[in-house]
Amino acid sequence: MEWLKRLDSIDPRWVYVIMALSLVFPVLKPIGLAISINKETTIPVYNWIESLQPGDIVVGDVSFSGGSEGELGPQLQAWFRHCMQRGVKVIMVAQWNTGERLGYTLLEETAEQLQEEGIPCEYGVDWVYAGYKPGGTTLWRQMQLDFWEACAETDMLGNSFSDLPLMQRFKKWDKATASDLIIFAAGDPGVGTYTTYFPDYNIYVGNVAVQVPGAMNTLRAGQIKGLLAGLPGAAEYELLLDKAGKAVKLMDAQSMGHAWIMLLVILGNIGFYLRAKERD
Amino acid sequence: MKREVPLALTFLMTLLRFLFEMINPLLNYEISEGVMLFSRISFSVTFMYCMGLFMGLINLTRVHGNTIKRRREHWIYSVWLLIVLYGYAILGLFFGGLESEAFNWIYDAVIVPLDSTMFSMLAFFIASAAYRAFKIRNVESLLMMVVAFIVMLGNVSLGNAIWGSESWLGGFSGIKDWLLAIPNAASQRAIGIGVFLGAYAAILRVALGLEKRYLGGTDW
Amino acid sequence: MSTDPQILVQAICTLACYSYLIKENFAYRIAEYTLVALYTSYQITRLFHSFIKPYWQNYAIGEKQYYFILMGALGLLLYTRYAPPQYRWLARYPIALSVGWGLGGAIARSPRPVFTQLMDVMRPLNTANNVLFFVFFMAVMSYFFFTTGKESKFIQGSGRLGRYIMMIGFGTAFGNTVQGRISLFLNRLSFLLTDWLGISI
Repeated sequence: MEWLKRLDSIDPRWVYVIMALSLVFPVLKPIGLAISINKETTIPVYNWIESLQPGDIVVGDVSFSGGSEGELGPQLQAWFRHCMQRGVKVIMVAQWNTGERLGYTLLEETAEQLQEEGIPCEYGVDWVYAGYKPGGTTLWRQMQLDFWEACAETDMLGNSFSDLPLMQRFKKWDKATASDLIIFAAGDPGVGTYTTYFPDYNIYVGNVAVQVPGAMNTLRAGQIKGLLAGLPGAAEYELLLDKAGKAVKLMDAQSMGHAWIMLLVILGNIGFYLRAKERD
Repeated sequence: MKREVPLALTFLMTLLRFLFEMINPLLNYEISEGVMLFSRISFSVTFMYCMGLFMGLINLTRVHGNTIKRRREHWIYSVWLLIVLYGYAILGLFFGGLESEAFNWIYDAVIVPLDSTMFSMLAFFIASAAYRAFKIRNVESLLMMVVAFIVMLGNVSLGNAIWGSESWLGGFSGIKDWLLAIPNAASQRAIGIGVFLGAYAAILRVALGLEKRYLGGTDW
Repeated sequence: MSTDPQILVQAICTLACYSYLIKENFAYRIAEYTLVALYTSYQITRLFHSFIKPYWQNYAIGEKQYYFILMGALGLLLYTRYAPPQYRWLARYPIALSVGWGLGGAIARSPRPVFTQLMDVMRPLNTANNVLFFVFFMAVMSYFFFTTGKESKFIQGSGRLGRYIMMIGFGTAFGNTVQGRISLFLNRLSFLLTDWLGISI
C-alpha cells in the first residue's frame, strides 16, 4: 500500500512523457472515434452560410496570433472553404497586427487548394484581405462610416481598393452591404468590439476553447448567433462540409490527452486521501 | 500647466467623443465632400499616439543595456536580444518593409512557431498543475471536479463513445451543453456585470479628474 | 524529412521551446529572448508602414491637413518621459488627449452590451431553464453583497448557492482550458510529424 501513497508525488517529467506519448500515438494511429456535431453552437454557423445567396458579402475578422493558430486556424480555413463553395464573397479584417499575416497565409493556402479543386477563389474578386489597421475600436466605428478611408484604401498586400472588383461593392460597412460577420477571437480586442459597436449585426464567433464559457453568456443573450468552439468546433465544421481535414484527424489524440489528465487527477487524489488518512 | 491642463484636456476629449457617439448628425458631419470630422479627429489622435511606436524599443534597450553594463546573470542573452531587436527593426523599416521577403520569411519561420509553441507548452503544465493542485478538500472542489470531468468527456469523442449524444439526457455532451448554457452562463453574466460596474466607475473617475495616476509620477 | 530551410528553422524553434520541459537551458533562453525581440520589432515595422507612413503621405501632405503635423509633434512629446525630470510632464499632453478620446467612446458605448444581457435575464419564467437561469444569476449576484444584508439568513443561503454555481462555472472553464491547451500542442505535433518529418497522418 506504500506505493499508493506515493501516487501524489510522481516526477513531473513522467507526467510530461506520458502526456506526449498519449498524444503522439493516436495521431500516428487514429482510433476513429465518432465525433458528434453540436446543434447549439456549430450548426447555426453552418446554417448561416448555407442560407446566404451566391454573391452576398460577409466580413471575417482575424483576432488571433500564432499562439492560438492550433485552434482558430482550422476553424478559419473550414469556414472560408464553405463560403467559397457557396459563392459567398469574403472581406477579411484583422484586429491583431501580430496575426494579420498568419491569417492571410492560412487563407491563401486554402484558396490554392480550392482553385486546384476547380472552385472559384480569386483574390480581389471572391475575397479580399484588408488586414490590420491601427486605431482600436475607434477605427472599427470609422469602418462603418467609410470602410475605404478607414483602411487607407489599401489591402494588406498594398493593393489599392480601386483595383479590386469586390471592393467596389463595399465602400461602406453597413447593414446593406454586409449585415453578417464572423470573428475568430483569441482574446482582447475581440468579440467585445462587435457587441459594442455592431450590436444590430448578425455576429458569429470562432473562439478558442478557453473563452467558450464566457461566450456562452453572449450566445444565450442573443448577442452572438453561433459559435465554433475550439478544435472540436473546427472538426465538426469539417465533417459538415464532408471534407475531413487536420482538425478531424487530431480529435482522437484529444480524447487520449483528456483521459490522461483525468487519470492524473484521480491518482493525485488517491495519494492525497491516503496521506490525509495516515496523518489523522 | 503640468497637471491641470492635461486633466482638463482629458475631460474635454471625453466630452467631445461622447457627443460624437450620442449625436448622429455630428457623427456624420462632413467638413468637405467625403471628409468626415469624426474620422479626421479620430485618425489624428491615433496618429499622435502611434508616434510612440519606438517606446518599446527604447524600454527594452534600457533594461537590457543595463543588464549588459552591470554584467548581471544571463547578460549574454541580452546582447542577443538587442542584436535581434535592432537587426529585425532595421530590416523592416529600411529594407523593403512589409513587402520584404526576408522580413516575412523570418515572421513565418521564427515568430509564428515560437509563439505557437510557447502557448502549446501549457498542455504539459496544465497536466502537471491539475495533478498537483486539483484535490478534493470540500464540497466546492468536489463540485468543480465533477463538472470539469463531465465537460472534458463532453468535449471529446471518448465521452461520446462511453455515453453517446443520442442516449438519455444527450450523454456527456448534452449535460456539458446544459452546464455551459445555464449555470455557467448565469455565473459568467453575474461576474461580468460586477466587473463592468467596477470598470465603469473607474472610467468615470478618470474622466472627471478624480483619478490621476494615468498621468504618471507626482514628482515631475 | 523536409529539406525546406524554413521548415527546418520552424522545427528547430519548436524543439528549442520544448527543451524547457526537461530543464531550463541555453536553447530555450535563446528562443525566449528572440521571440520578445522579434515581436517588438515586428510591431514597430507594422505600425510604421501601415499607418504612420500612409497617413502622413495621404493626409498631412496629400490633403494638406496640417493639424496632423501638430498631432505628430504632440505624439513625439511621449519621448520626454526619457528626458531630465523637469521636462517629463510634457508627456502628459498626448496621454491626456488619447485617454480622453477613448474614455468618451467607452462611456457612451460600453453599457449597451451589459443592458442587453440584463434584459435577457428578465425573460418570462415559462421554462425550467429560464427559471433556473434567473435563480442562479440572482444567487451569484447576492454572493457579491459585501456591504449590506450579510446577517440575513436568506442572503447567506443564496450566497452559498451562488458560490456553488460559480464553482460549476470554474469547472467548465477548467474543462475547456484543458481542451484548448491540448489543441495547441497537437498543432505543433502535426507540424513536426507531417511538415518536418514527412509522416502522413
